[in-house]
Amino acid sequence: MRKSHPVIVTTWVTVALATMVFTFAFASAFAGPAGAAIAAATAPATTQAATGPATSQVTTQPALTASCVPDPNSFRAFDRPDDDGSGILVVWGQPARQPEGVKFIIQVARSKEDFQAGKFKTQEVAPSPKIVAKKKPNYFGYSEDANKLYYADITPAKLFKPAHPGPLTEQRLREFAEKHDITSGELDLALAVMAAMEEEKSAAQAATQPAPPTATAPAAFEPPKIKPVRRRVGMADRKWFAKFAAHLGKLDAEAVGAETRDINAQPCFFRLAVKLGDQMLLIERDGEPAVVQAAARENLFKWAKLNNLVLALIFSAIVVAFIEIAKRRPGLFIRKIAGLEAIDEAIGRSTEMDRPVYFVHGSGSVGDLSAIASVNILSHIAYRTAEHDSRIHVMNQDPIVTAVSQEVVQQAFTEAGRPDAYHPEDVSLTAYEQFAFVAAVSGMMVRRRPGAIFILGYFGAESLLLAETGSSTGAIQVAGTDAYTQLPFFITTCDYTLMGEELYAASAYLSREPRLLGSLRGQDVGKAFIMVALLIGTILLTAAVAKGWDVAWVAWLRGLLEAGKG
Amino acid sequence: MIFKRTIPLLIVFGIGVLGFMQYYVPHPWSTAFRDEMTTWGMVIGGFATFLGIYSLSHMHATRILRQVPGWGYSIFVFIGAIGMIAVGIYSDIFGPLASGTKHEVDPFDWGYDNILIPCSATVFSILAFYMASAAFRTFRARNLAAGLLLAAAIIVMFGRVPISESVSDWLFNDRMVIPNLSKAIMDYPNLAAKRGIMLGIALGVISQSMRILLGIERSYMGGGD
Repeated sequence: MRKSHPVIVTTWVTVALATMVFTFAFASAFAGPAGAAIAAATAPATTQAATGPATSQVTTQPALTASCVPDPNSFRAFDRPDDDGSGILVVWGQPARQPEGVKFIIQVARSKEDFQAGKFKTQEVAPSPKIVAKKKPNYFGYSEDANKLYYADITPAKLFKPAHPGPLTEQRLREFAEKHDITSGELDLALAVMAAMEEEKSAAQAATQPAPPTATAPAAFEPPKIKPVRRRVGMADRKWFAKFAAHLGKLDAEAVGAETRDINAQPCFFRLAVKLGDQMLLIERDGEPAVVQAAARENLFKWAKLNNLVLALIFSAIVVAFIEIAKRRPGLFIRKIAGLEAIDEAIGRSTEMDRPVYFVHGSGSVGDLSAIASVNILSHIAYRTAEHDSRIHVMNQDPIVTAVSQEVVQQAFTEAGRPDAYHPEDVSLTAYEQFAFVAAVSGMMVRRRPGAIFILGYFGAESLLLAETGSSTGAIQVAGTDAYTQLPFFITTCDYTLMGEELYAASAYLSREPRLLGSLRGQDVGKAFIMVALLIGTILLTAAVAKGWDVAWVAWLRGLLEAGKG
Repeated sequence: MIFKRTIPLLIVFGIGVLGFMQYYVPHPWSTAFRDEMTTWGMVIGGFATFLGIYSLSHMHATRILRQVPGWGYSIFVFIGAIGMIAVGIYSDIFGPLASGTKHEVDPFDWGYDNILIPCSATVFSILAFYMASAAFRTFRARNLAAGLLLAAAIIVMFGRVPISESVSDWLFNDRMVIPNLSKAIMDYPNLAAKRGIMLGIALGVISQSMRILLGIERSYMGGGD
């Protein structure tokens, strides 16, 4: 019997483990982070509905009855999951009756006693499909029970606002000095500049005001006022003060941020009332107004993204496994990508025609993977161009990509044994503005008529302008982008187009390095995995609709698929 | 080799993994890390801008000196750049050319609003003509696939103009047949293709990221593989 390869065994074990974790994620996502709250909230609602909730009527009006009040057991508050500690979610069951114009009033206080003292804030919520908990599957899961709940997102710091420091005054400057945020020298200079500016402002105001009527009687002699000796304030001081004020503004913003975090972290107490016109009914539990409590917490993990993480880890494991396999067994079959096969042909044709090769970068910076992918491809194209003793012009929109491209092209020419053929001015920043870039590149294309044009990276409206101009010059054009909205333009105007993932695959494909090719194989296996998952999901959902199944996992799966619609 | 390869690769791996984790961690520490990285990016971008300006000036100066075809356009680059820098400094009330007060009509803003934006709009407007010429070349029913593309394009374009409702009413006694057909093409076959491409891109991103994080893909550092 043939012994299994250790890498393959490792891969399968990794995939199996990841699948187990994913199943757990499935269950978690199905239940939702607030699943427990929903289960507790919806279960007793049915029994409560039969007897009707106990209520205290603040204003007696016949139109607002007990049936308009939510089940008190459904009224809950808890930390908003997956956030940085700035929010609390309040949920309550939908009441049996909701007359037109009814509103829910959430009263928020710092302690139970504050309600008695009237020291609470209110947030008004009108019932609408927007506040149905089902709209937030990341908080309440995909359970149908979430359809019976309303929710409100409360940010305590928006209700109990932190004190705003106000404009920069002499008093505030002295406070900064007392806290040793500024030195005494800075205080003196800042006060001098502020006084000078105030004086100028007063003088300007006096100049615009009409002159007082001339007195007929001779004015009594007044001794001249002696102005206090003040430090001279020059332009440099004013410039310093502008920066100094900005620095103090930053300190203020930091202080407000810290206070906001403190306010959000403190526990909040909530009461819920139903309001219709002048009538208001407060939810009661055991004869007392129902009060629930919660505090916002700084969470460490976004549980709603667990399925995302698990899938990313599964695909990463597959890619790494195939990289290892490729190291041991080179010569993996990789499907042909026509656009990449044509690169040599395009450079060769360009050389024969004694025309330059143009490489046009997209608008992304080095933080974008499409820009990194383009730079990787540029490395291969520059190397082949140097080998053909041809000339390459690289056009950039981003200064950082320009710097990286210069390094990459120079290195490629050196490796090809033609360092002398590298011209620094051939790899330059063409323009930073989108349409200025288009105008510049189009002009160069028309004047110099390149033999081959490579348009690679992320593009917006400039895609068709560049590709159509290039097409009019008769050059072979190879385009590639991950901006799917621009793909139709490239397909119609270019000879070859690298669509989406092919742009990322290009560097590995061109290098023919076994480990890089292994990653491409892993990518293809990942795609097969997704295709199978889509097929199974489609069959299950179709069967569920045809058979009329009304089970929770169908709702979850449908919700999952509908989440990305559009 | 350590400074040119090993240390950069370690930095890439470390920052890459932290950046990946940042997406899943909502804690304020994570947000602070992201903000810090953004600040570093801006600092690096600031230095790179000087390199970009040098690169641009060098390229156009070389063209003028060598009088390559179209070298006259390079003069406009310097006129535009120097002109805007000058009025930018003049507009700043603290600049060396400053008059001491902020101008009511800022010359820099005036140049931006009345020169750059109209020029950009002019280039953008050419897109309409290019779209027409590209569509004319593409929508030729040379084979079955091209024919289907042509038919779908006609339905989608026609379904999105108001007259399609009148024509639909006249042909099918229902104002919404053609608009709905247009919507169905966009919502189902088009969306399916779009999602297919997006899934492929997501996988490509994972694969490329793994190659870069593990240091297998190093072309972006210069020096091939």
